[in-house]
Amino acid sequence: MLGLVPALCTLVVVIVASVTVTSFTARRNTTRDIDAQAAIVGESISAALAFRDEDSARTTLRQLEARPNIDAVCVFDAGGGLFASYVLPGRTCGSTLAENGLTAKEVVVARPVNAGGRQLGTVVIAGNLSLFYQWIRIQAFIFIGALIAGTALALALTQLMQRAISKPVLDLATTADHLTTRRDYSLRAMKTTDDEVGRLAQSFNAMLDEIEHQNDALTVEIAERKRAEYLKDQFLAAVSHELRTPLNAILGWLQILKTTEGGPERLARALESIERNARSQTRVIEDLLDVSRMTTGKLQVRMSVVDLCAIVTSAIESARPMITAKFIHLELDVPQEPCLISGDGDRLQQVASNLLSNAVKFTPADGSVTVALSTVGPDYVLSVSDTGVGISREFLPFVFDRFRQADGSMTRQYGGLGLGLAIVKEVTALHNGTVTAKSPGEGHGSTFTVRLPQLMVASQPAPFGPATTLRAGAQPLSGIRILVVDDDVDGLEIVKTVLSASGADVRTVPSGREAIAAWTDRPSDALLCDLAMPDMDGFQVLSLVRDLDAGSGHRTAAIALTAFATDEYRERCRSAGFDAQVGKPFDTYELTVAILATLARVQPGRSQALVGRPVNEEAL
Amino acid sequence: MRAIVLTALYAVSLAVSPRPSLEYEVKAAFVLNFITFTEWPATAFESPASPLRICLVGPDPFDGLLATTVQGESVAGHALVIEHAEHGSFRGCHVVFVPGATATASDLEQVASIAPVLTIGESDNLWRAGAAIRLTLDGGKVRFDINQHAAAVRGLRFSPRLLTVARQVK
Repeated sequence: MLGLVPALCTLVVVIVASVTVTSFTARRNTTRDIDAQAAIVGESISAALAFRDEDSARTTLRQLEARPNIDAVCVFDAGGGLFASYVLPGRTCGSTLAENGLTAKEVVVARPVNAGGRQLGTVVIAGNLSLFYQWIRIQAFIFIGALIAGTALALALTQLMQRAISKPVLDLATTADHLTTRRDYSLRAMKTTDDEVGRLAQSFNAMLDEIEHQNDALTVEIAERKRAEYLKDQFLAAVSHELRTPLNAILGWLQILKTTEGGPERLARALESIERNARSQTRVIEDLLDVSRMTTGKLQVRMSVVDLCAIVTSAIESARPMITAKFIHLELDVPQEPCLISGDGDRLQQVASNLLSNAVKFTPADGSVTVALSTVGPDYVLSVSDTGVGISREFLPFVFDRFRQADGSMTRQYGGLGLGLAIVKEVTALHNGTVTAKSPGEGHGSTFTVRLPQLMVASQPAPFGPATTLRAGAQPLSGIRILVVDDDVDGLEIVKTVLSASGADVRTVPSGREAIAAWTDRPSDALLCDLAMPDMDGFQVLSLVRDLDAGSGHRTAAIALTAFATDEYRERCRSAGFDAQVGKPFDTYELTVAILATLARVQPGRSQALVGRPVNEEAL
Repeated sequence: MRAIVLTALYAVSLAVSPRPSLEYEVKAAFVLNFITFTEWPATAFESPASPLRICLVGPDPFDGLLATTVQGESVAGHALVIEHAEHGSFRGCHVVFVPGATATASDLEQVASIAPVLTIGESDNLWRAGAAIRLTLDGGKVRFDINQHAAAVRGLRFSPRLLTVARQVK
């Protein structure tokens, strides 16, 4: 509405100017017209005036009666006397002679009457302006009418435009207001037109779609992150618990041993408990490392030809004490003949052990566990079934996920980190195999099935596996000279004790320099060397030993002892010339096997003497 | 046919004159008017400023009044002068006034000639001989007749306004 005011002002100014110009022009034209009339009258009446022919004069003047704009025509003779006139009623010629010009009502024009260069008299005409005023009035009416009509039209147009533009814009604004107040991003603006406003509404809605979409995605992400946080907390609690529990036992027994005197029987019990707990903790750490490697995609397998049947049997034998202790009935269907596959023996044993220990863990006393190994098409199929707690339908899809257990309470009830199945899945996948879980439901047991491709080769060399190499016997390392180098005196002592018990001739030195001195004095068959040492590290020691070897023709079996069990480190050891690598803390069994295997490899001449040596875990 | 009515103003002015008659006073004014409403060809004058000669033939019936009337007047830039002319001798005249019935045979001969002279007469025989204007009394009023053809052959032209107030136009 206010927008019309300037336009109206402009119109009014234009109208006033127009009327003024028209008025001026019309007055001038009227004056000219009257002047022309006077000239004509003067000319026509000249002879009548000269000869004073009043009849003729009257006839001439009568012609002017038809002119409505003439008030008076007065003809004066040369002496100034009135000769003839035509006047409207109420008008006289008395005053007109003196007038000549424009008043509000009349235009008065005086013109001389000439003939032959003589002035015979004067004609004076008074023309009224009523016609002119009438014309001005009409024009003013037209203008005012146009103004009113224009204003009405403008208002109508404004209304229409408001409907076409303002209303959709206002609707848009209302929607935006609702959005900001209610934060309901499912609201949408109405698209009523196809013009710019319509496009605006469309873009607005597109933006809302995007916001809603992002909102949803954000909500999901937040929920996932919360879930992940929760799982992480749960997992950390479990890790803490799993690490602390065996430590409690170890420290408890150590405390007892330091403070009290006891017979050999008690000592044996203490040592057995400490060892079991230490192994348990090692296993937890190994699992954690494996999961860490899985996360970074660095879990690797060292492929060789292995006997899956032997590996499964070995895993069963390892678990047997646990099974027996829990009074679980074990059913076996594992063939005795070799079933060869390409794989990592240690990792495959880990798979079998994890499945088996899970089955035992979740099966109550008097339940049963069935382990079967069969051939299905090109694959070996290992299935481990139990009559245990089973898996709920909801949790089944997540059973192989890392850090995931049915619930937190399960960890506390059954122990463990819940990493075993995740490792199983990863290792199986690395062997181009699959693992599946089935369960009829909670309380109805579960079955885990691993499929691994068979090695399809006509004849195979006898596989080298711990289970087949180390048989019963007490002194597998007898007669073997071993030099152990480690700046950690405690570790040194443990190694010496363990290896001496296996019959080895062990020398220990706490530094690289002393190692070289000892070696120069008398070489050994094998070198067990820590890597991180203060003055001279393991790599330097090996380098010098290799130099000494080169002079004597002796070939030392070099084994790195390191706490850094990463693949990069393994590779570094290999390129530095180490024949094998054993992680700390080490397993005496693993260490013994590593020494024997390395010697067999690097000193083939001695291998015949070594093969068949009895190795018994219990004896270590 | 129009009657010429003398105004009171004229009557007053005539009343103060000792002589001549009221008739010739009016006729003197008429003569001036005739000259006023007539155009001569430019060749009729030696120069645009040459005087326009009015010749009175015979005795002056105006008794000097015509001279008074035209005194100081000029028409189309020509000063008006009064001259006396002998009968039959109109040479050098632009207007010839032949009063009453005094026209002689030689006057008539002159009138019939086609010299650019405006001949004004009062007698019928002069009118018949080809005078351009005849002054006459009609019902006690001075009137005039116009011979348009006579004027035209002499190279003279009457204003159309003059024709509207003449008694008779031929």
